[in-house]
Amino acid sequence: MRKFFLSALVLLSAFAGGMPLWAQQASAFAASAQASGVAKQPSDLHRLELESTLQQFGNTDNSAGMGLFQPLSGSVTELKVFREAGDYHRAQEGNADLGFRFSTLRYDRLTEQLFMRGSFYYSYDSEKDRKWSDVIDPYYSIPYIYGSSIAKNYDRHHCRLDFDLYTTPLSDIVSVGVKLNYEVADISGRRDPRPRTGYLNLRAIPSVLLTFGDHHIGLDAGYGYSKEKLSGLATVQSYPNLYYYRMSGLDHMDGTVAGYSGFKRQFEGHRGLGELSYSWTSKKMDVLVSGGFEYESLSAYGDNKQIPGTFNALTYKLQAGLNVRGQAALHAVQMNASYKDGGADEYLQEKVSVIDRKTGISTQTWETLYIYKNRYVMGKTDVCASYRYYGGYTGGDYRWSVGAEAGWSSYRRAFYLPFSSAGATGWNLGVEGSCLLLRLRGHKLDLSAYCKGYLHGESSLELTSDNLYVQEVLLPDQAFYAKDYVRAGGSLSWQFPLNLGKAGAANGYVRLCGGYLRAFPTGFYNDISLAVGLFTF
Amino acid sequence: MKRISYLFVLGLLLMACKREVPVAIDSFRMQFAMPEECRDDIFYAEQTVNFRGPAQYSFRTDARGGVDIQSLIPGIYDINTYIEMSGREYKALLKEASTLSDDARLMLGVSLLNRRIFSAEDLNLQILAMQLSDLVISKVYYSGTKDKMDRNYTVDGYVELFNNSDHTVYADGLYLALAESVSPAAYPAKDNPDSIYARQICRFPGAGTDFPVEPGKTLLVAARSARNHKESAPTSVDLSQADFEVKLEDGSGNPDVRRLPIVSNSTAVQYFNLLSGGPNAVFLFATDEDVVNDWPEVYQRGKTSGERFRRMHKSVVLDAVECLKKPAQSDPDVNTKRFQDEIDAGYITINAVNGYNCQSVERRASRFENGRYYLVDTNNSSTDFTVSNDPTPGKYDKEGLQ
Repeated sequence: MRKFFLSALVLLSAFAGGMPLWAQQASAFAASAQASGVAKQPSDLHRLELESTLQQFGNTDNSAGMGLFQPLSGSVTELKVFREAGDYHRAQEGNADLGFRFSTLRYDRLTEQLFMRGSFYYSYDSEKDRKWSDVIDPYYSIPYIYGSSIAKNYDRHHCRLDFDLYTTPLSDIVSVGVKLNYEVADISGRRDPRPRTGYLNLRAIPSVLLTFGDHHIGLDAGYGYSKEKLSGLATVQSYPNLYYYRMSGLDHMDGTVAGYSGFKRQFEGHRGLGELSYSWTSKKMDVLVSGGFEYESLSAYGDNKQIPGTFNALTYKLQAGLNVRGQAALHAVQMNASYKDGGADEYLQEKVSVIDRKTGISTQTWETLYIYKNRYVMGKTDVCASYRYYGGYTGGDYRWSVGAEAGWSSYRRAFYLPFSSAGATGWNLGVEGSCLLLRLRGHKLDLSAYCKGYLHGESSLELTSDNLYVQEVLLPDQAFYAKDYVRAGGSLSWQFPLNLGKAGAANGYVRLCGGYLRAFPTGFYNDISLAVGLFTF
Repeated sequence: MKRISYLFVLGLLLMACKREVPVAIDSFRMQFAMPEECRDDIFYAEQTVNFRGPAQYSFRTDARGGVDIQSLIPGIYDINTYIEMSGREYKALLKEASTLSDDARLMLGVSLLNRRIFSAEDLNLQILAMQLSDLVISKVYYSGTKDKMDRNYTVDGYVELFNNSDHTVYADGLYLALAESVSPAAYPAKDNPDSIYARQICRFPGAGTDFPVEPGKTLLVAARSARNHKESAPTSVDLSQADFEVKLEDGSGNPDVRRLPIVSNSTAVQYFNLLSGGPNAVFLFATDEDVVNDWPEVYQRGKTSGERFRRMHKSVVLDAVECLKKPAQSDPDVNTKRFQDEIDAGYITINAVNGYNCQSVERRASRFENGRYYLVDTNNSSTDFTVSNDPTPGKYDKEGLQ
């Protein structure tokens, strides 16, 4: 089928007066498999990594641009178990995580000009001894979070479906595509007071790509909806002095004994996003520059439609990618920058009870008396650049690679009336490399290693309260950001051929990964994982 | 490198929309006006005014009895200011002669609950002169605790009265009562500006001088059981020396403790029915009228069966404390207050939704003079009372009360 498609493409291009370069590239990539003499081969780990690098639009929200580079049709499925643990973590994170992940990814051609990429991801993990946060993101989102000071284990189920549908250029100019994301999660705490949170996230992003010879201009815009809901907290026993806390930004919080009783809260969010991309493809070089934004609006709701507050944020993203194909070499440069600017409006509300004098029926509503606009603000910046060199590059494989990365990150949070603030900056540096140790009769043994470091920059903390949340969360977090660390690790992968009978040939693999982080002056974190996977058609 | 990073951040920030952040209210005046009966040259000068709300402020009035406020966080505040004086001192401020007793105890001041201040509008507040009760409610313990088996223990509640004056007072014939506490509130004060509706009324026996309370001394009423509850629940209290016990019959319960009879009851409960999580609107009143025969009993609005509450005029109240129930997700609902602002301008609440945390609400001590305590009394339990983790009765030297 793939041969037929390529042939048709060549014919059409000849008819149109020349094959566009992106088509040349795609056919060359596919032809590399044919040139090896194997008519039909499943993908493998190296090819998967190269496809991810060369599929530049795969890192954007523009599905239409994915038609510029078409990986081999087929799928990869992986099951991974992992464990990580250590004392270098933020106060609202656990000190260990144990679980497994199942994922599958497939590229396929549906019709002559219609392609798809679909993936399914499921994970279950148990985060140990987490406290002070019964929400998914306590750091860079809505500040009206809640939690208990009792450390407990949290079990999480997370499921995600991603689907990209895209075309090759229709009439040689316009490609269209759509990206759909569906995500659900369930998080439950395993100690009193026991929270149970459900999460839903949906996104739909249609896109278009205009092709003018070697130049491509892409545009995508979409909508997202999310909901995070705490239905209630259960207790197995009764406690005379068990507090539950509601936060409103930085050091401002309110704690009540048995405050978990009847406590409900949900965050409902709407997102609008857009992105403009430019790509230039040639025989030896591909360039992609993409800039976009995402506007997010979250509202918190309590009991009886009480509104503690709302949060809105604008995130700007900029990314650039450069792939240069040399003589048996591939250079890949990637730069990403993002800035998130958010602010929360705090609502001062009063419960109004109206009693019908005739029937005695009481009606309760929440009346908003005042809104503190942008009482809580936050800003987060991340900049990262990476370079990777693939040696022995043949189009669908490579023998070794080496790379380096550098980045800078900062965050700032502030609360007004009275004023509190916290912030930190830091630099990331890292080197990595990989090498094919052995290739024999379809078997491959691959070794990779990395070494990364973090250097802290300036940090600040200015507070007006001295409560338990300050002592157990904000001060330890500030100490966390003030530490440097070095992290080293690697992986060993063994890939082997399989014959699945009527299903044809496949490639299986086993990969063992591990890493160790050492923070200075104190702190450590280690991780280990074992994955088994399968490449099929 | 550092300069480059700052410039980069600055560039990004300039690109972003500038957020308008909230600012404090500035430049407005709060003016206090003395009671109309006072002379025109008398001002509420050099007095402390306390604001409690999103932040706590303390201002000092100027010679003209006002405060120029330069900066205030917008929000809802409890405003409280008061001075105590004797009848003799107050009469010296008046335009005309008065029949007020020289020994009377008065409080000049104002207590405002939940005053909304969202803009720089001048505030004009009227100072009120209120005669204080000699006998005040000093402690109410209703939360209960946990017993040795970690079970809820709620039979140890009590109410303590305190003689805040300099002369002996007598409990004979006084009434100790609880306002209705159904949910939703049947007769909240905001809908009933003149009346209080009681679900239980107890009356102190005596012929007039049988039960004296000396200056600075207390009178302890066990709500249900006058025994040493520490034997069952180590964190509880010893009520074996209580002066009165609310019980059905003389000789029952603790035979050594006098009975405080219930004269009006909306239910069949035969003890002083303090609710462990609240609300408990406790009040002391005095009247020469026949409470049982002359004061009407009414059902909840819209009902013709169930509990009936005894209606009375607020003017009979000597002292009161409004203990509201604390919700899990928000501050107590002040719309459920049963007492009008003249009776109790504030409220107090224990720091637990359902109780069982061994906390009591206790009146603060204003000073210690001549070997005895004087307690704060501004008719505002938000400022007069505090929550104590030590509910021991008769003890006024606790750290949180000072």
